[in-house]
Amino acid sequence: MPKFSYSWEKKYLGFLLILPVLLIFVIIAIYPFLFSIYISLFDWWLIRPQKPFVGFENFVRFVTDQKTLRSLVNTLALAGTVVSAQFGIGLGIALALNYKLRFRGLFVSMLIVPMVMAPVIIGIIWKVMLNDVYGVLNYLLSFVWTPPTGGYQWLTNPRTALATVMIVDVWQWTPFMALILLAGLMSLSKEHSEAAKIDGASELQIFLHVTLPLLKPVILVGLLIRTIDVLKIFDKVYIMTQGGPGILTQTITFRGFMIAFRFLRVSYGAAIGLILNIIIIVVAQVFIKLLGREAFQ
Amino acid sequence: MLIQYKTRRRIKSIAIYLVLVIVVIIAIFPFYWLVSMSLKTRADTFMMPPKWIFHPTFSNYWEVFSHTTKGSFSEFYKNSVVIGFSTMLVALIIGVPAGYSLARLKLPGKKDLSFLVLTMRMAPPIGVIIPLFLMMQRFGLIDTYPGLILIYLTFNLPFVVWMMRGFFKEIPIELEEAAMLDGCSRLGAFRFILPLVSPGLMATAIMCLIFTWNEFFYALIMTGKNTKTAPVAITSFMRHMGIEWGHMTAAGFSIVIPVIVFTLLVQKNLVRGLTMGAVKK
Repeated sequence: MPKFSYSWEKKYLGFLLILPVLLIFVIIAIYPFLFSIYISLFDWWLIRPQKPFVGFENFVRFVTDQKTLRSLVNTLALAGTVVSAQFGIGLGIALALNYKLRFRGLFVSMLIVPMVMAPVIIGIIWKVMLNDVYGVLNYLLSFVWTPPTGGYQWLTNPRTALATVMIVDVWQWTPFMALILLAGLMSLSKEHSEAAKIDGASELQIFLHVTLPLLKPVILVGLLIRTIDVLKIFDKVYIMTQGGPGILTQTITFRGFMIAFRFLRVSYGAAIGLILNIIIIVVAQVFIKLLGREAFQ
Repeated sequence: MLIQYKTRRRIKSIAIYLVLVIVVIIAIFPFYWLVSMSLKTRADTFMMPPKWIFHPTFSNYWEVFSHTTKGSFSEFYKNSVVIGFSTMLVALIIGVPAGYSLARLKLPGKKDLSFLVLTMRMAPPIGVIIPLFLMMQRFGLIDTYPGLILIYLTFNLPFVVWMMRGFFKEIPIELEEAAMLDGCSRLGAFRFILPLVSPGLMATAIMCLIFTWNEFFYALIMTGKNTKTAPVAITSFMRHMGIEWGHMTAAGFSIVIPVIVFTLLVQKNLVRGLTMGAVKK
């Protein structure tokens, strides 16, 4: 009996244990993915009974529809700016935290707070703080800068709206970048930098030519995760600006949401979802090529 | 010379502390502001310049949570609790054995399968939700617990499988081999090492809970009056009552605080979880 069950287990148990996950993936991921390719080829509006086949028209529409194109530009601008700012500032914080410090644990615990707050609440509290009449930030700013007539309207002024969304995301996720870079710094052995020191390298030289190259894998992981997250950004935009003023802060996900669930054009929405999927796959592939698959073990 | 070196070092360390203190103040100021707004009276919230010192009052919390009728915030808060824990349980029950399988057992195409799990976690919600919404509409799953839980599995299940795979891999394989030599079956060996991964299991469970609890996009689309979660409910505060900042921030704080408590429990594994195991501390 043990012998029988042993060989049986050896052959099939691995498959058996993962089978439920595979079944669920088929239902909630693989079939929906194929289904969304299928519906993207029609012109299906939820309020219309007929859904004519239109081929790739929805994908063509993506690049000819000014509003959608604008949401793509906004999203890419957000990703580029926000992620570089988070990397730059995060690296600074990580280097500071890497010194011999008392209270490092306390600093780290407090830095974690923004990244675990629900994005909705973050949107709300920033909206409250940025309010043009009662907002505390405008009050604090008024000490160093006389407000324009009508106060600072960060989220409704076309010139500042997108930048304000950027600042809020930088505020929320810079600690994440700082913490993973800190983890990277702390895992480096002192040997290399000490060898360089003996050879007469300056602190800056050691940082640029020894520390940074050794940190490369951690840096790439941070950039990868943040870039993909920002490409999907929705919550803060929905709460703080509703994509406005006009369409100036619309992101791809926001635009897709409006098209599919406000205008009920599910086919066009599905095409937008697929294009975002492709963008993310390309970005992820580039990073993972640089990193090697083994990085995520 | 030595003294100069020492004072330079001291200045440097003071500068570093100063920078870090400023950074931390910026990081937690919005949280502080959330708490203080929630404790102010309606009149105080509209004070300009803002009141830094005031008589705290819990009336906002009382007004937000005292109603328990259908359509009240406490009802939606309860929805969040039910959906959060159910999603976590389902994801663990299905995902933990699969993680073990990917870490230890014989499986054709294991590497590619693992990689598929990892990439699924990156899928954009707007691509996921449209086909799923249409499918669920057909089966009457919109605005039901099972429908939302199923959608939450799209990111929680890959997360559990991937994280548990990593935690199982860290257990020395000799332990299971010894258990199996002693007559344990493979399943018995799995049960034998399960307690050894319990810290990782706890961290994974809590992070699942946090992701689900904070989720907004899917809930906004998939829920209605029956299953609305707290983060969605709080946005309707914004419209129906005008801007009741006191109520909104009280509700907001009640959403944030359990997460912060839970986070302190998993702090050690948080970075690992948020980077899908790529950065371990």
